[in-house]
Amino acid sequence: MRFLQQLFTIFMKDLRLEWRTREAMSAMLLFALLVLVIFNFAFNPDREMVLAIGPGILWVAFTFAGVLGLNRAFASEQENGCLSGVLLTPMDRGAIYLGKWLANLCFTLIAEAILLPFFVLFFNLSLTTEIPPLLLVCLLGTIGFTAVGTLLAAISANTRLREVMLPVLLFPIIVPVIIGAVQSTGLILNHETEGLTSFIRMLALYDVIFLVTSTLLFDFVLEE
Amino acid sequence: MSPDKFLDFLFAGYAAFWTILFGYLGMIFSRQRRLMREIEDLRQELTGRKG
Amino acid sequence: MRLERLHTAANVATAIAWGAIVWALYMVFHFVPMERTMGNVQRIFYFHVPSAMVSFLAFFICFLASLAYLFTRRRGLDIAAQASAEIGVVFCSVVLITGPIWAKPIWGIWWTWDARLTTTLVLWLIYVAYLMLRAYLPEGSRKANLAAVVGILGFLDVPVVYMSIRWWRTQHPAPVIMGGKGSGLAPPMSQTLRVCMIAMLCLFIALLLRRIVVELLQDEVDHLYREADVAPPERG
Repeated sequence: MRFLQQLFTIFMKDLRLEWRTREAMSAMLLFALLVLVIFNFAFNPDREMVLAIGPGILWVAFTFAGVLGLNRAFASEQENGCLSGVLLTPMDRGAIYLGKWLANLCFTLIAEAILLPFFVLFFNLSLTTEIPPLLLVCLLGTIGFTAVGTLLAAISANTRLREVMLPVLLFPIIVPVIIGAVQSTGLILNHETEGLTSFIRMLALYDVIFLVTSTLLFDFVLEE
Repeated sequence: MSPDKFLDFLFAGYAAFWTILFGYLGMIFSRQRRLMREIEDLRQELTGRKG
Repeated sequence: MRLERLHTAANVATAIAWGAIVWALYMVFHFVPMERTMGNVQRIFYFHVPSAMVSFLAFFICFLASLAYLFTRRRGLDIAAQASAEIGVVFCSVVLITGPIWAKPIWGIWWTWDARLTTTLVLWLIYVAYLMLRAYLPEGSRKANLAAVVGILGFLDVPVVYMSIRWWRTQHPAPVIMGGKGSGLAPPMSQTLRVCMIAMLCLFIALLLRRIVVELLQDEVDHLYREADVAPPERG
């Protein structure tokens, strides 16, 4: 019970912080929007091409925007020495990790929710029954890359060049998420069901593995 | 196909192996030499100060 | 003294490794008969495959050392993890470069995104990032902790990456070029392969010891600078 309370405290702290400035959110949204626009120029896709490359474009936008948000999550803590303050409190380290992760997940999902209609609009898709499975895939994929991303952001915040370090560390590790998410998004947009469940199951498996290990490893990241 | 048709590829493959290996060895050994010299200098500096 | 004994061990291991490599080269270029369908270029295989195995072994050692470091906090384990990852990257680079050189004449293409190749590439990227992180982390006790976490996370990712690419690839028609891989090797070939594996393993051990010696020398230099109360020059 105390664990959940602590988790919730950290989560609300990050939410409040973001609500005051809306820095991360606006940067993420604008950046992801730019990715969609740039890819549109780069490929100039017709209807059939959209179904083939659209999922990839969508997830590049999501993950790149996600990295921006994740970078902010610990940069601000580091700059003001907030993290040492948080560490002085008798809080469970796992709760700190999960709280921060939930906040990151929340920001990224909100950004994605705003972005998805733009994606549909720009690429002239018409979605109806595809929406529920698509949302599920977005949720599972985002859980996956924010889970690892939160841990790695805490690590890369200690380095010089942290803005570069995070994506360099993160992208190779989230290869399974990108494959799973892009493939299942593609299957959904193309109304194919064969193989969809195996990809979704893979995403779920990844989420579980890396949420658990990240929670366990976070203890060592904060240690002095 | 003649068995020796791709000898240049065979050569390239082994050349790549040796280049990487010797490149790395060169890096390690030059660093080792530099460090040993540095240790020598520092030891001399320290004993010189004491004496 | 520990450092001196390690130094001797590294020298001995280096000598053994050279001997083993000469033996391996003799096996590859003299003993083993030419492969009938692929011709002489197939001889790349005998250095390519053992390099791959050694690089996986190196990353596995990095994982074990990182894990053990987090529990014991011994500097030696941190050094072992770093040295092992670095040599793993060296061997992985060998694999990634000799692979396409072998594939081009045999398959007709340099690269294919199949599970094994792609996993090796991702593995290389993970550990290059690991080494980059080590280079950019400020010195201190936290450095080893943070690096160990990435060393563990990166290795855990490998089977997941492999599985995900397998699933991804079976969705599409598999490239036909990959047929006949498990067809088994003729006895002289497997014999040669075994010798090459031993040689690579010796080389790996020699390099690992040498790398550990260098890192310990670096520690000694840092220690002496502190004792002499001189600021060490910027490391380049």
